[in-house]
Amino acid sequence: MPKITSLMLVLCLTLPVAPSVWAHAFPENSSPHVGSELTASPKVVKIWFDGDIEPVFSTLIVKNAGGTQVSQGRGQVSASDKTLLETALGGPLPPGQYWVYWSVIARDGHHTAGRFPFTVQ
Amino acid sequence: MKWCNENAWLWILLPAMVMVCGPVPAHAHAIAGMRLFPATLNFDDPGVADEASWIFNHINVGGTETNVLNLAYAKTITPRFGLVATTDYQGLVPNGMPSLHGWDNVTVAAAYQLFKHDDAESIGLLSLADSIGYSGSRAVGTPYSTWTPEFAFGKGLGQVSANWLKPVALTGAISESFPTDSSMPRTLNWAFSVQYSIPYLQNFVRYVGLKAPFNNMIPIIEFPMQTCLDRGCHGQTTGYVDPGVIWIGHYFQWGVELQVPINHQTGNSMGILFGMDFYLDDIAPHGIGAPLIE
Repeated sequence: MPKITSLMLVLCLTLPVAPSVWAHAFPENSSPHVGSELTASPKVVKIWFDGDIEPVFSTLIVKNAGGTQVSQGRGQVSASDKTLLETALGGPLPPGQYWVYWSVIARDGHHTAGRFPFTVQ
Repeated sequence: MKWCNENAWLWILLPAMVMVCGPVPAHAHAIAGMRLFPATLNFDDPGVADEASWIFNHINVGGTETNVLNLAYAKTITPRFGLVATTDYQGLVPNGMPSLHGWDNVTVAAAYQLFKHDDAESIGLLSLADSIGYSGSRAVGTPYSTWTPEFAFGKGLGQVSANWLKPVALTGAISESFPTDSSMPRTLNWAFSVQYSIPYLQNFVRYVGLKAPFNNMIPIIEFPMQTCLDRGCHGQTTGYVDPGVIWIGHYFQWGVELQVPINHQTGNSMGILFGMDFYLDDIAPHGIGAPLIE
């Protein structure tokens, strides 16, 4: 019994200083902002994550309210910033609501995905 | 029973210990789709995970100053099945009586991820825990085991049409404790929480401009309850309303909650809970934080 509890105590106290690797990646910021209402169409959509993401498996797609893709390709991770996922839009967006779909693999292999809207007035 | 007769104070303090400790939690955080369910401070979360946690609790129950440090370690065997070991160190200072200090029983549990639906942000878990008799100190532990089967669940409201409700999530756990000592009562343990995720709000619904540390906070109210099912306390319910906040980060979370007793049987004083939970699957994803069998 004392061995078990001592082991647990040591484990809990030493874990915070264990070498960190990577973690689940979640958005930290985006352009346009989540749920924003824009007076003009953006040219690109960008999402900054709270950790590095894998370029090969990370995607970012923008669709209109009818489900038609309005962005070009599947998005790409910035060559200079491994936390930035971005995609260019095919052209100026007409007024309406749009959805941004993202799916990323963090450097440790953990997958996260999500979506958010923005509106062009 | 001889063991207990030699520890008369145990029987005097038992109600306080039961009320404070309740079912031993096996904390874990869980992700279903876009929803992260943080580890709650009072009861099990609905996820199987690799985690280590400590929670400190200070409260006065019936005149007994109580300090409890709970330690827990959760290990995945497969992605859907895990084991948990937990115990706590208790310091009980009754009014005008000698204090008691020592380790409580060690509890081991097996947990299975029953379901996880990403689109519905719903997740459920079944577990069976055993608080092992005689594994704690003579002063604080119990000379009998307690078996506790449990169902825990989580549900995010991301699919509702009202934007202001989307960041809300509900979690809960219901279990029944079966002491191997027939003189001890069975208890129904039922608990739930209401959470409002600011990360969910800003990442998936509407960015409102909150910066660190507020952008990673989840205001929460937990409702840990216990209902005695037999013996001399049949039908008596005790519990707390615990408002607080949980902050989630890359590799760990911390949380602090106030404990407000729901009735006179529970107590007359408020307590406080503070805890940290380390996400081993994120700290060491290819080592101690990975399932033994993929």
